[in-house]
Amino acid sequence: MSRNSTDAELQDLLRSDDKKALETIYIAYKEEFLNYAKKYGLDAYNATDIYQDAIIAMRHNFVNSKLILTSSSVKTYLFGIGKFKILKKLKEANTLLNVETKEEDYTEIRIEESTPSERSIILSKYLDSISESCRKVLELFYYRNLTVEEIVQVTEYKDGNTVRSHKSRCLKRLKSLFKKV
Amino acid sequence: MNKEEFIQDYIADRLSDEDKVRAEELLKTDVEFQELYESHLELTAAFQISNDKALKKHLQELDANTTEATDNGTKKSNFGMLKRIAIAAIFIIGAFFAINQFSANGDIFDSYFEVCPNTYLPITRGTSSPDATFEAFKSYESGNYLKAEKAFKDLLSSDDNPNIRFYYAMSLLNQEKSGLALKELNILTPNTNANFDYQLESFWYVALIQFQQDKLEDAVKNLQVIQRVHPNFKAEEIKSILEKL
Repeated sequence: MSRNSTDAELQDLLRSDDKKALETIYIAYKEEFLNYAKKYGLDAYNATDIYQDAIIAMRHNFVNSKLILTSSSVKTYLFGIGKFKILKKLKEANTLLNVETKEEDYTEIRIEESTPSERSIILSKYLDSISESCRKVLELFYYRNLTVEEIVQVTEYKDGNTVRSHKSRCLKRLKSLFKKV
Repeated sequence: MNKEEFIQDYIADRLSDEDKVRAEELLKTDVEFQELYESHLELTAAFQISNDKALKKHLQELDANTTEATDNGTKKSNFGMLKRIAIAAIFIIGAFFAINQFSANGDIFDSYFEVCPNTYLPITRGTSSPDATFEAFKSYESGNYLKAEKAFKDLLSSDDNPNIRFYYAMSLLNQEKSGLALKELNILTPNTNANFDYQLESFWYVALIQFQQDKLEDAVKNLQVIQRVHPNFKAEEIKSILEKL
């Protein structure tokens, strides 16, 4: 996140899964978030754990759902997810107290947290067993939901048909691994 | 558009209202469509699990490194300065050599050659491979080009697959056996069979080898073939080479 980046540019970087931008956001707001979490009685260890989970959830929403923030900044969104996760943790532990906030507070942003199926969990393990090029093309198609034409633009594939044939071979390979279970 | 791409558009909310209704109808009536849809969602979830896990680990390591750097204090900052100076020096020396190499004509091959990645066959890592083709590509991906060369040659003796021949040529080229690689690539450039995925790449590497051998006219002709057949393939590189000649 350069000083010259606007929030809109930052959002573009996050949508394109720019690891450096995400890392910079993580470092930039960490201390502030830990101080914010202190108000809820969380120690640094638990607050860091929640902050990391909030970063992960934010990244997923930008990359997979192509999130566009129009009425809030990236920071407000991140802290909103963080607040949701803090409150969830405290509710689960039955330790939620009334917290008085003198300064500006953040609106809680609810994150859908569905339990993945057994098949998805097994498949996720096999993703580490296929080649980098396979993982990449499958990730671009199934996780980032890029169209075949978009994949051609961001990779070295010469055309859509090459992407399609490589994706098809990779999927076949991944499924063959899965069937061996 | 195939069904998988239609499903992707549905999931990514890129369909028109009319197509959205059609997709929802197919989800109720077409078993294959339902299975592909479920499979797409499962893969998305699988990538989410895998990516989330990797990112969590990365952030934890980042924190650990930041703490370590803070603990090392001044010593670390001096090292950082030295490191920056060293990187700058390497960059300046590197740029000097790169500029001189090219301007002396030279070496277009060295400036533009990159190892062609395996985009043909997915390789399983960490498990025993079931057949010779996997073994050959495994050697190629791990950079053991001599082993890959032998394995691809064996495969070609029983099956004259042009895609395998291309990677055989690449294995040779990656060991700087340019002459032998050129011989194989020259077999491939006229191959217009739909099952052959690397015709353009073959022209590209033939041209690079010809530059290396100072056969400028032939090399330019081959680049022009690529421009004619597929203007987007290596467009920037080809434009840049032709402008500099």
